[in-house]
Amino acid sequence: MNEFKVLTRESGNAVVMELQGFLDAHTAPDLEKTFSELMSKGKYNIVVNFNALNYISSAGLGVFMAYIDEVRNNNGDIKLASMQQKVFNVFDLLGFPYLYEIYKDQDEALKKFNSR
Amino acid sequence: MQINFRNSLFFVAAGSIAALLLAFDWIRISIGLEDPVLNGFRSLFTVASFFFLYAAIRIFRTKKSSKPLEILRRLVGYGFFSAAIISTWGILLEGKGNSSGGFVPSNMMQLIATTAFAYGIAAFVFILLMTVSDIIYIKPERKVRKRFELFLCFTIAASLLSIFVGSPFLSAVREIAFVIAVFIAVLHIVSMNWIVFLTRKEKYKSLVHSLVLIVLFGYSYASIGPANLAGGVLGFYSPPMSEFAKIVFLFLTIYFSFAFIITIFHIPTSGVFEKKKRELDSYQNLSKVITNVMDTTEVLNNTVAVVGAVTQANKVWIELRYDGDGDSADEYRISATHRTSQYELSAFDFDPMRKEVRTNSRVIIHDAEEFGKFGLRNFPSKSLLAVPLTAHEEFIGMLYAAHEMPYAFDEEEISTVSAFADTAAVAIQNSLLFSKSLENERLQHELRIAHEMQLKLLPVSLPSSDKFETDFLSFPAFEVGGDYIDCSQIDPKRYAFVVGDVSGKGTSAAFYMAYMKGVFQSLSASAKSPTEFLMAANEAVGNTLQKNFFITLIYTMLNADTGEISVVRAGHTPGVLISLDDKSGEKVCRMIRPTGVGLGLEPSADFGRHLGEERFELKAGDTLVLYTDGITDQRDPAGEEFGEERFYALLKELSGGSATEIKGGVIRALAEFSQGTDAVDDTTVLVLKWR
Repeated sequence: MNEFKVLTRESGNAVVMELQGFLDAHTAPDLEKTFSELMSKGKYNIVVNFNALNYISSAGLGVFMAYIDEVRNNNGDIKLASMQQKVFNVFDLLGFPYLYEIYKDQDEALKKFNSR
Repeated sequence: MQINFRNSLFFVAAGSIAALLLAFDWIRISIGLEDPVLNGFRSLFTVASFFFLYAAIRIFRTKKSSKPLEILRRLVGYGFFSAAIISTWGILLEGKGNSSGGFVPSNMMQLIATTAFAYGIAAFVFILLMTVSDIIYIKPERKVRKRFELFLCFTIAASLLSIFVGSPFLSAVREIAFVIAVFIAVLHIVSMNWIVFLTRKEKYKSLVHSLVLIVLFGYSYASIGPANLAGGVLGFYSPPMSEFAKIVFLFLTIYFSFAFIITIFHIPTSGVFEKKKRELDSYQNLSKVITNVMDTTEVLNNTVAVVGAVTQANKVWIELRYDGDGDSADEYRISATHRTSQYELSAFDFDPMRKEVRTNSRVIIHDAEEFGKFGLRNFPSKSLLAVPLTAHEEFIGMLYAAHEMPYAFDEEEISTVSAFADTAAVAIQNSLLFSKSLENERLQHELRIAHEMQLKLLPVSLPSSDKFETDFLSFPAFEVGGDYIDCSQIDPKRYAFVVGDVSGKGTSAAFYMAYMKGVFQSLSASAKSPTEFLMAANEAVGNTLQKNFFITLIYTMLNADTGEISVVRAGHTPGVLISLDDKSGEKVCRMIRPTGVGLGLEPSADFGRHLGEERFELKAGDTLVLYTDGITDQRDPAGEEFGEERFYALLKELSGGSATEIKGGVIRALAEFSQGTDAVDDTTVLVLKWR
């Protein structure tokens, strides 16, 4: 079974969400749970670090779509960072660069939040 | 029983001796011969004759029974006849008795009557003895048989000794044998097992029968004493038979006197016996419950009904456990009730009792006070028994029985119910598994239908002309999928081809795929350009899809006259154009990847801004391939992906062939690569070749 893990930690006025392993239809609910926890705590500045994520399927992509409206309506954002090339290609094909800010590394994304 | 010469030989022997004795007696009376020695020999001959009679009757008696009441009925019949003979035969011999009770026939007529009487009594005595042995041998212990045989031995001994009336010593011995025979007769009271097994009603019948038998046999015994005419007649003809009949009638009188008394004693306990019998019947019912594994409801209802019958509890019910999802607690649902209802029970919380049952295997409540310990103070019962239903070491639920009386369940009932619960649990588990597999089968069937329906949503074939040819393949990873391929002719010259992929897999994706077909078929005809089509499609899809679903699409519009083609892409896997390079003359692959976001991801204004359109002209030999990522995501047994690079190389290799050949080559290459590894995603490919 392909493992998937989400780690969250606070950094300034943002929360860094670190994804590890395989994100597909089976593991997507784990990520959803983490997002809804953050929503209920009112944390809307989110940086997702993809460094340790090896695979993402369309169901995994769907999770980000499910929460982006709520986040942006609360003046927050979901910024994506540190993607492996293969994972980036998936986002890229689907046109995600038009929808999300995607950064080379996590600090760059955090800086955007902190400078606001 | 076959009547043949050998069997009737005993009758012939008995009859012959009887005839000889008749002749002898005639002479004896005529000349008034009274010699004790001669009479002794004569008696021995009567004994032989009666023995043959006994043997003959034994052979011809075929109707043996093991039902006490039937045997009693027969005894009453035989007893009535023998008593009738004893009381009426005297009419023929009236007034011939002397003061001492002795009897001597005075003419031939009386002699014949005497002989007939003796044999009649003897026959009925033998029949009675054989019939009563039937009842004695019902559920006998071994010593019973022995004891009965011993009784017969002493009876015969006493009878034979009566021949020697002259000797005071032998008379004393005879008396002793008689006493012993009677003593053994009395011993038979300890083995009247048959009475115990009678139902209450049968016992009452048995009482009446016994009473009648006591009267009949007592009367018979009294009437064949030496002081009576019947006794005198029998004593004249055969002293041993007189003695024998006397002991047998005495035995029968004693036996049924005791039978009467013992039956009376057993009447109060018939309730216990009947309860046992009821339990036994219920066990049989339960085995029916178990063989009937088809219907869970029936198994559950039968189980509570059986428990209700055995315990006579006023409420019986079963609750089954349903696994809670993940962290949530297990759920218990009342699944069958007997003399109660879900509605009544729903007012009470049995959770503390469940906990107790799971730790201590059962709960027994004997009075109203104890209900309080489980938070059930208001429960309308005074006794309660709760046992677990455990099948294959899995706790599947609980069985409850409640009674309005305190201390209603005794140890025996508790162990019976526990044993019941164990057997019933297995039956319930089996039926649950059975219905689950039925349900699975039904779903499989539904999915097969869905699969066939979805195949009908795919085009049968794509258009071709003298300028271009097409072929395609599309198959879902599971029964139904989210890949979409279609074509529509916009006007005589122009065709629209589309390949799409709905995010997610299986049934939900299949519904959106069907929806997509509707969108494509209705919009492609009216859209003036590919961009306009995608804008309209995004509008239609965006309002329909759930937020976390999206559809990717690649849409091409081909001018079939000129080979002009324009491609738009909504987040879909790029197309590939395989053509000959003008300069090098080699085959090259070009990725057709105009910009565009997946349908349903953003509002139409933004969607349109991000949308690009790529136009080019197909040249002779060019091949355009549209596909879904099921192809490049296909893995080999080692887990390696087929990948874009491998796919492009394959297409270059295949591009010399026709559209159908290229499609066939792709299928073969994928099969070879996967080596039987299941496809993880739906797979679709469209090949368009310009001639």
